[in-house]
Amino acid sequence: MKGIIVKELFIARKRFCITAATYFTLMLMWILVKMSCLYGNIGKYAGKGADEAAKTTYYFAVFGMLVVLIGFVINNTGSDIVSRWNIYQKTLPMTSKQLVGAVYLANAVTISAAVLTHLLMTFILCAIFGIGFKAFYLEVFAAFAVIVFFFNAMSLYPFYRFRSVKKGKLAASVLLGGIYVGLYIALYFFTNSSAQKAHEEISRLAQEMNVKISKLPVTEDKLAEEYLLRDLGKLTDTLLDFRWLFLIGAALLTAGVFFMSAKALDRPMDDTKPAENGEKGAVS
Amino acid sequence: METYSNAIEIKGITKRYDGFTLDGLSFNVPKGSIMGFVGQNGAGKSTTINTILNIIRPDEGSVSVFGLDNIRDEVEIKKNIAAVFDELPFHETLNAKNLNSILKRIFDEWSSETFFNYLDRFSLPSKKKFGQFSKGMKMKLQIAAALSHNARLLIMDEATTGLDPVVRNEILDIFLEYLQNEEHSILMSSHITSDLEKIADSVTFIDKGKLLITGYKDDVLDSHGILKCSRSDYESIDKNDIISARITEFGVEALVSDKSECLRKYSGAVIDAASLDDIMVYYVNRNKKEWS
Repeated sequence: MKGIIVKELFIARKRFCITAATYFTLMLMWILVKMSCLYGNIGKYAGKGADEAAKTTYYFAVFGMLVVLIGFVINNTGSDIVSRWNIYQKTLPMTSKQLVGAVYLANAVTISAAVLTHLLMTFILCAIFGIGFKAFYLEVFAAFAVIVFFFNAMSLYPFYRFRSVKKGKLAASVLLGGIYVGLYIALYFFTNSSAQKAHEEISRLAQEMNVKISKLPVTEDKLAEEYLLRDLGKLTDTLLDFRWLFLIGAALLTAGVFFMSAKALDRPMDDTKPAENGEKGAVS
Repeated sequence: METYSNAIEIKGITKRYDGFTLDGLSFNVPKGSIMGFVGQNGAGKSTTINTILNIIRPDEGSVSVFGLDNIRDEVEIKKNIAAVFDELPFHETLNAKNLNSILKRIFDEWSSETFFNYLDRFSLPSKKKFGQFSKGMKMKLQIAAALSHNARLLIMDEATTGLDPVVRNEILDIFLEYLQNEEHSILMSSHITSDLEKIADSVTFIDKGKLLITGYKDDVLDSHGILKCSRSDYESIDKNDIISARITEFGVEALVSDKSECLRKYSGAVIDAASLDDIMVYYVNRNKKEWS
């Protein structure tokens, strides 16, 4: 297994460079914004609010690092098919479970390294800028890292199932697109719901106080924002309360995908149709 | 590993595809020998090799390697075999140093010293990416990797195709060195019969998925011959004695499978030695019987 882990890390070198460049660019941008909040024009004109906003966005800006790592498995496994390594590895003294396990471990090692790097940077920057360290933000970051690991693990299966770079990437895109659409629909539901509640509350207040809506001390938009933040806060609390359940569910699903991927890898190479357009990696 | 006399035993392998069937193939690769596996393009050589390596599964039949079942004992077998394919199966962004780091952690008996010695011998750079290698360099790299973990069996699928004669000669010499160890065996598929004539101990011919001949190379060459005669003399020859005949404006050249018997039967006949190439060409045309 160690050999395959080393192989995965070797062929992902370019991706690691892009990840590191993305991360440190975002870090540098944040440091410059923070310094401007403290000593420069942003602080002079926008005041304390801007500094608070900069503090919060720090934790989310570095998600760029993890976003780049989303393609880790897709690119590596696609590269295996194009180079015909997927056929060569069938001649190696390893079982399919060992091969898939090695890819999972390489994925985990990469994402863990990203989380640890960010943890270290966080400690350093908190010390430099006197920011209060909030464990909550790192929990969110770690949760996102788990999602990236899970997405990468799920992406592996279609490559082994179809033995085609095109179909594997299409399946991964559908999965990512599905997650994006799901999040969009959820956010749309929340904002719509908050707007609806704000509208009803504003109308009720106007009626009770017997004044025009424009004369009320609070605006509909402000109310909608408060309702949204409250609902998101409730959702976050629920997720945190049941985080172990979600983690166990994700672990079980990952294990299921692991065994499906191992089974797909174990199939004879001629079990899938020869790839279209002479795509390499198939056995005709 | 138990003692065994054949490195590979193939029994009744059948594999069906649309438009092609590998039909009941059986042959053995004796331990300590090189088997030349000969056939036209599309004859079924790669299919057979993929079956041995368990890359594909046969519909019928069995394969044993080192006396072990190639499916049940797959991992154990693969510790001791090395495969060389016609195309380099390594990522183009890797270099030889990276490959050494990978393979030494996969094979228990990997020797980095042996690997780098072969690289020096083949004049292969250790830090150049494989994407920048020529075809000859890629083949030598595969062979260096194959010979660096003390494999008992080398399986080569068209490994010398597309290489120039100098490189092919170099590689053939390496194989002869490899076989100094009596525990080592090679199965080498090729349609370049001149290479096999140089180094093979035994040969197996297949055509359109069917076994034509299998046996020791010298026996095959000694038993076959090209009978040359005029067209009128050809009419008096028993057609059961010939595999196929090439009709030219100068006469007839027919392959016979029992040279000594034909010399006895057709006294005065001219029967020249047949090369493996001749044998392959005439057998491929056996259904036509007469061709030009």
